[in-house]
Amino acid sequence: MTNCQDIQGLLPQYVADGQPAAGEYAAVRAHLNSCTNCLATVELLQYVETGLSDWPLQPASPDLTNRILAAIDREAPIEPWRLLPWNIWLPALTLLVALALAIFLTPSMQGELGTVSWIEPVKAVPLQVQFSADPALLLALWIGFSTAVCGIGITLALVHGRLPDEEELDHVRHRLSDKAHRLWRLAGQ
Amino acid sequence: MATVPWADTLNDPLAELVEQAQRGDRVALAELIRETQDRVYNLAYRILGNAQEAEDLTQEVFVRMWRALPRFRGDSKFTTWLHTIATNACLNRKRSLRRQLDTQLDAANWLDALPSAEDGPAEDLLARDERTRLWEMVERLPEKYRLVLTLFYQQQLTYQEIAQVLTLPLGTVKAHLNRARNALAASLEKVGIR
Ligand SMILES: [Zn+2]
Repeated sequence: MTNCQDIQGLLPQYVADGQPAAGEYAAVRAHLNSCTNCLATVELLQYVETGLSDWPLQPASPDLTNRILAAIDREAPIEPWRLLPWNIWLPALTLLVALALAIFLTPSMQGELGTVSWIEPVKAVPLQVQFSADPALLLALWIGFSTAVCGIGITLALVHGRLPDEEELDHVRHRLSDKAHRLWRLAGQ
Repeated sequence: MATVPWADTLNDPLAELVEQAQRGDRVALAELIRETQDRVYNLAYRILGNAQEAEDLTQEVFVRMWRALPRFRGDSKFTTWLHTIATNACLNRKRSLRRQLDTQLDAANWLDALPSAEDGPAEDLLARDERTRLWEMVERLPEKYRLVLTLFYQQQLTYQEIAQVLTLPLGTVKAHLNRARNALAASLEKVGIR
């Protein structure tokens, strides 16, 4: 009922499937019992199957991983602004601005300790305004104001963003340690 | 540690590493590359037939993988996804090389590094050198046969995964493989190994 040509077409899959006895291959097995020609093909195919089944992966050069990593680094250096999530760097930036304000805008202290000239006293004006205060108090006021600005910045940042979760902090830690590692290696060279 | 929703369904042994690499973990990225580079290299070698070209292309494939990594959502196993990138890159490169370069297989280089004879199990049906000749014979087959043979036997992808990588119907993949098996069997007969 079957000729060799029909059977030959089924043989590669039959062998690849492990020469199963059951089901769709019943006709194949029946044919093989009586056809030495097709049986010889099965033997060749089995040889191929066995030979290819333990075809090893050839190892690449040992330094390939490093060359790939170097290529990735060349391709796209990590942008510094992406090093930290914004809900960390924004409050940090606010803090810096606040500190800068505190340092550069704090009224300069003149004369002896204990007297700060806020406005140059004008003698002709009867209502003489002379602001005198303890410089430590002024400094404290400025730092207090700046800290408040900073606090508002942090609050805004955190309210509008999510609180960084453990994963993100993990991420930040990894990237920071990676940066530190690279700087360390760079310094070593 | 976050759970990986697709790790269980696809049973991807690399899921954890992939997820860490996606979060920017460089150590995990290096490990992921180390785990998979030989697969990409062998696929490239099988298609390009030249060790230097294969290494250059492996490098390119991993740069592409790294760029696309944030978009990988685990719809397939990582290796299937990587093979898709690698196969496309290899075939593109092959096309551009075909015109300019003689891509002779540097067989000597390849064979030097093959595993030595001492580690084969005693009940091996084939002698080591006979198998080596069989693997060499694959090199002489047409490209599409080499490709499916390496994906199935050497890279150990399933029929389904190969169909996904090559964007071919499952039946076509099986047909290619069966023709490749037949072609190999025929050349064995011709050279008289069997
Ligand atoms: Zn027959």
